[in-house]
This record gives sequence, C-alpha cells and structure tokens, in this order.
Amino acid sequence: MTPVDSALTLFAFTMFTHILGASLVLGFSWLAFGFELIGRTRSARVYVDSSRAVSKAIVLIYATIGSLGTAVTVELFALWPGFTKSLGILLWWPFAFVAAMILSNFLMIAIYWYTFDRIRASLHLAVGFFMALTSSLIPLNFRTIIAFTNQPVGMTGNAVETMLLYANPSLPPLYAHTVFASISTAGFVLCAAAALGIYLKRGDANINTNLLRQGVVAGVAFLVPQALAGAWYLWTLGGNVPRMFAAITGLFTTYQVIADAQCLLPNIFATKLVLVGCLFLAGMWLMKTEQRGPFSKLGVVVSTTVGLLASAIILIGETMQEYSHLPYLIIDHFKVAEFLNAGFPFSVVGISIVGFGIFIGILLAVLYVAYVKK
Amino acid sequence: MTSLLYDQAGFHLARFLSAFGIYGHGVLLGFALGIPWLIVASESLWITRRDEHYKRLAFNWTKALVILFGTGAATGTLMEFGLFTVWPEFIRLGGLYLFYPFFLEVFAFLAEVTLIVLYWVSWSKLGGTWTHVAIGIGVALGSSISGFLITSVNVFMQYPMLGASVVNGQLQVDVVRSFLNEASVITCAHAILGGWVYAFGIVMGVYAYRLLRGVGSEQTNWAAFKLASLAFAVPIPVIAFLGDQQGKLLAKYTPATLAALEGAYETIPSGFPNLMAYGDWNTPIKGLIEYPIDFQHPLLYIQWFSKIGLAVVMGLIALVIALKVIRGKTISRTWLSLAILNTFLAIVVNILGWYVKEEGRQPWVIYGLVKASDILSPTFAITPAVVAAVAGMLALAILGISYTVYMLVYKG
Repeated sequence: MTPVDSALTLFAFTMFTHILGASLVLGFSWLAFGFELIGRTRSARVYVDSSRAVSKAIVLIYATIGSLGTAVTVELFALWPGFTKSLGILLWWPFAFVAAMILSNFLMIAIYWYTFDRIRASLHLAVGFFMALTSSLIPLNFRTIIAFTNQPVGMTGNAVETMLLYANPSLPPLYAHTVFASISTAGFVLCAAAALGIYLKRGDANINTNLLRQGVVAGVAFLVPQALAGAWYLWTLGGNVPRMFAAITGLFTTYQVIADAQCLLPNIFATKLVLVGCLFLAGMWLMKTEQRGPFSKLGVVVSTTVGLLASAIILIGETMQEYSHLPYLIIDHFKVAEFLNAGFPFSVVGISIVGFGIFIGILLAVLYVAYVKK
Repeated sequence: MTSLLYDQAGFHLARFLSAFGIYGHGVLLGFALGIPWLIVASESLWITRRDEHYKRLAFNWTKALVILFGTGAATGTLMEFGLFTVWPEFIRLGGLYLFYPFFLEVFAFLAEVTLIVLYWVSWSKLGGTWTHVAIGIGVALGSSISGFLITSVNVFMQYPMLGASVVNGQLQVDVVRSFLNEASVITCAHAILGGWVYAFGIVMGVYAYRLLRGVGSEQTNWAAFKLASLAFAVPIPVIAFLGDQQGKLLAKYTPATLAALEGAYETIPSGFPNLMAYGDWNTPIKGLIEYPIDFQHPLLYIQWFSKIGLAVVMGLIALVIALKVIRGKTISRTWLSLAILNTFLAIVVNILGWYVKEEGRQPWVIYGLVKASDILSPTFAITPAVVAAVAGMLALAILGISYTVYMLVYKG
C-alpha cells in the first residue's frame, strides 16, 4: 500500500463510521419528531412511546459514534495538515456554522430526551422540531464543504466568496440526497431493530410492532426521493464535474485512468443501484407481509437485512464520493499526494484501523447489553 | 488607521475566543479528571464497609459524570472547530509535528467513552463488585491519560526547545520527544493533579453547603464531605512539589518567564528565589530588561504571587480539615464555611495557574518560534456567527455546570 492509499483508507474508515452514525441521528431525529407529532395529534400513545424509544437511541448514537467526529478531525489535520489549514482559511464560515449547529443540536437532543413527558406536549414537540432541524443543518454545511471540494465555486486565488459557496450547483442534489437517504436508512434500521426485538421478545411488543411498521414505511417512502436526488446529483456531476461523473460511471474515456483506487468505482456504482432496487423490493414485501399478520422468521431475516443493506448503501455512496475525487482533494486544485504529511507513520495505519474497529465493536457490544439483554 | 484598529480588535477577539473556548472546555475537563476517582473511592467504600450512603454517592456522581462528559465532548468539538477556523496555521503545525499526542488522545478518548458507557449500563448487574470498580478505574485512568496527552501539546508550546530546533531556517521536530520529555511529565502531572483538586474542591464545597443548610440526608452528606475533603488534601503537597519542579524547568529553559514571575525587572544576584530556582543562593536570576521586549511580562508576578498566596491559604485550610476528619473530630460550622471558601480558592488558583502559564508565553504561541499574531487566519472576522458561537458556548457551559451543581446540591 502506498502512503496515499494508507491515508485514504484510514480516513475513509473513520469518516464512514462517523457518517453512518450522523445519518442515523439525522434520520432518527425526524422520525422521533414525526412519531410524536402523530401520537399527540391522534392521541395515540404508542406513537409517543415509539418517539421516546427513538430519542434514547439518538442519545446513545450521538454519545458514541458521534465521538468519532473528533477522530475524523484529528486524522484530517494529521494526514493533510497543509490542506486542513487551507480549508480553515477558505471555508471558515461553513465550519463555524457547523460548530454552532453541533452545539445547538447537542442541547436539543439532551433536552428532548430529558423532558419527555416532563413539559407541555406542544413545547416538547417544538424542541423535537428544532432537534430535527439542527440535525439537518449540520450536514447542510458539511455538504457545502463537500460540494466545494467537487467544484470550488466562488474561489478566486486564496479567497472565497461565502455566499457563492451555497450557490454550488452540486449542493442542492447532494444535500437533498443526504437528508432523504438518512431518513430512509433510519427507517430501515428501526425496522431491523424492532424486528429483532419482536423475535427475541425484548422490549414492549406494541412499540416494537409500531416501530417496525412505521420504520419500513418511512424507509420505502424516502427511498424514492433519495433515488431521484441521487440521479439529480449524478446528472449535475455530468454537467459540472465530469471527472467525478467519469470515475463513477466509467463513461467519458478522457478521464478514465485517474488512480488505481478508482478502477472499481463503476462496478461499485452498479452494485449500489442493484442494492437500492433490492432494498425497495424488500421494503415493499415487508410492508405487504406485515399487513397480513404475525411476523415469520423470514420476515425477521428480511427486516434485519434491510437495516444492514440501507447502512451499506450509505457507506457505498460515501466511498464513491471520496474516491471519485482522486487524485484531488479539491478537484483541479489540491492533490491528495502533494498535501500528504510525509512525516506521518503510515506503518501504524493498520493498527489504528484495528484499534478503532475494536473500540467500535466493544461499544456496540456494550450497547447491545444495555438495550437488548437488560 | 481604522483598518489597523479593526485588525487589532479581531486579533484580540480571536485570542479571547480561543481562551474562552479552551478554558470553557477545561472547566468541564477538570470534573472529568477528578470525579471518576471519587466514584471509585465511594464504590470501594461501599463494598468494604457495606455502607449504602457510599452506594448512593457513587451512583449520583456517575450520573453527574455522564452529563459533564457529554457536555465536555460537545464543547471539545466546538473548540476543535474554533482552532481550525481561527488559527489554521497552528492546526497545520500540530498536524505536522504533534500528531502522536493528538492521535493517541483519540484512542484514550474512545476508551473513556466506552468505559463510561460500560460503567453506567452495568450498574444494575455489576454495581458493588470489584469488577465494576476496575471499570471505574479504567474510566479514571482514561481521563488522566487523555489529560496528559492534550496537556503535553500545551507543554510543547511552552518548551519547544525540548523537541524542536530550527536548522537552516527550517523547523525540525522530534515527534516523540516533543510530547514525552521531562517538562511534559512534570507539567502534565501538575495540571492533572490540579484538575483533581479543582473537582474534589467543588464536591467538598457542595456537601459543606448541604450540611450547613440541612439539605438531604445528613449522613450521606458527611460521608461525601469527608471523602472529598481527604481527596482534596492528599494531592496538595505533591502539587506543591511539582510546582517547585516547574519553577526549576523555567529557570533552565525559559528564564525570561522565571524573571517575569519573580517580578525581577533587574537581575537578582542572590537570594531565596535564586535558591528555589537554581538550588544555589548565588546563581543570579537575570532581570527582564536584559531580554528582548517579546519576552518581557513586567506585571505577571502580580497574578503569580496572588496564586501562590491563595494556594498556601487553601492548602492550610485543606490540611486542617483533613486532619480533623482523620482524627474523627467534630467539624464545626466555621470549618464547613471555610471548606466552601476553599472551593472558590481552588477555582481561582486553577484559573490563575493557567492564566500565568498562557499569558507568560505571549506573544508566542510556540515559545520563541511562532507568534500568535503571525498565524491568525486572514479571513477571520467578527460576524454574527462568531458571536452566536460564543454565546452558545457560554450558554452550554453555564447550563452544564449549573445543572451539575444543582444535581449535587439538591439531589446529593
């Protein structure tokens, strides 16, 4: 492995794990708010209890996988210190905005979870709405940064026109795709968790049944706009960032050979399309089966699979996004290799990844014990 | 002229923001360093004495720790983004030369997160066993290791000559020695023990207040007060010793800072300060006027001597209370009031200590090598977002601390 490969692998591992957690927090936030809204307006207690269960999951994910955000920052400036400096100078506005939103989101999540049934329902709903809103504004600014790395709109010399950052053509489809994908994935993950709960006879059966039903509905319902936003994003890349479009689709032969790591991207893209199709069909099947009556073992297997599949699709999407940039960090401006920290001990990358993996494994085991075995 | 003033205002705002962010985070870190040891001690006493008061204390302190840790993690993220956007060159230097402590800190932090969650969720099954205590010790060690690694970065900023040198105009850094050296061991130990004392002091003050006002169970309050007051007193002599060792480090590596702390405008040829700094009555302490202007801090000794004076008072009160506790003597209301005073002294001494260290290094970010004014981001400006971030950070710090103090005072 070259130092570039090692650096990208380490960063991708941490980043993707963190992004999966962040996506779930975003998706769960809207679902928790939605469930509570339905529960309060229809006076259906099971929806309110479902919302409460989801809010607990948000707290745990935020406190655990969210912590990997620190690792992402450290890796970024340890691996590409000069690039990080440039990002800090050029894109300080979206980073400052993200910081403010992370703080607000943390407060909203804590308040929402702690004040369940302790404050007026309408006020609690308002907190829930702001929790979901701030969860969505964090990726808005991160995606602004990603869109800038696709196509540095607004950059002249060493300065950036802040407002033009938000006028980047790839931002709207990328952001829309992120939000829809997060809600869809959260729905399928809820469905998987609830199906396991029903099968293992853990937790409240009514809540699990409701979470399963609503989870799969949300998963399928948001998968459609997710797919449309994905197509819109790809279309935008075709018109504005042909290098990425070429890397992902294998079309536009002038850009074909860019880096070894990109050779598999068209195959990965094709795999993703197939998986999305499978996810949709499995979701539809679950919706029909679930309406027919008690859940079979096959239903549990399929439910668990859709949760894993949706999560895998998120990771595949991020892989395509990161690797289609190569050999650039910011397309046509900053090359991955040029800005790499030559003094970094790349020989320990493997140990680091194993270390992160062990921690994540222990953490998941602890959460399993806390949630399922308790 | 307007532009110059604006630039100056921006620079000072940037410094204020950074100081505010780092100290805001540090306030919470102090708790994360100290509270786990109190929890471990309390649970151990519960096991050995079968005293339910200690069980209640350990459980409630764990809840407080979880809240403080969550708040600390959020402010830590903010701090990272703040450094990233305001001092991007510092981040570049950190990435180039200090990746080991930062990287290892990520692992220490993950270990801490994992063990805190494990300690919390295993209360119902493992609480009251030595296995659970061992997990608690893991949490305490994780926070101390994390504290060491991050403070070692600050030590490098203070003593870069121990790991860095300029060769042909290029900065060259030994990436291991930059964070593992005599200064980092002494200074980090001093800072970590200072964090413990700060946390123990606040807990001691809270329970002294509860005893004075008759809030909650009197027996539980006494158990907590005695435990915290003993924990508060024990590290103080060690901190004093380490403080003396730090003075010797200053004499050896940054004598201008030593002169500033001693208020030595002109050379002190001999005397007690010379003996303390050099171990020799007659080795002169060179006066500030003999150093370039960038190394002079003529008024820093005021804060320094204030710190020393207050620390001595705090230490004496703490030792008397600890002796009374050990001998089983009655603690009068006067001594309980003095314990509350000691809480405030612990906070002030802690703040003054960090203030003297940071201000004594100015205008350098990395002593003698990199100036703060040279690395401010060219795009940094006073904007509503910056103001909002400061306000938000302040709100979070106040909420976190207020809630914890409220929990400790009224829920025990």
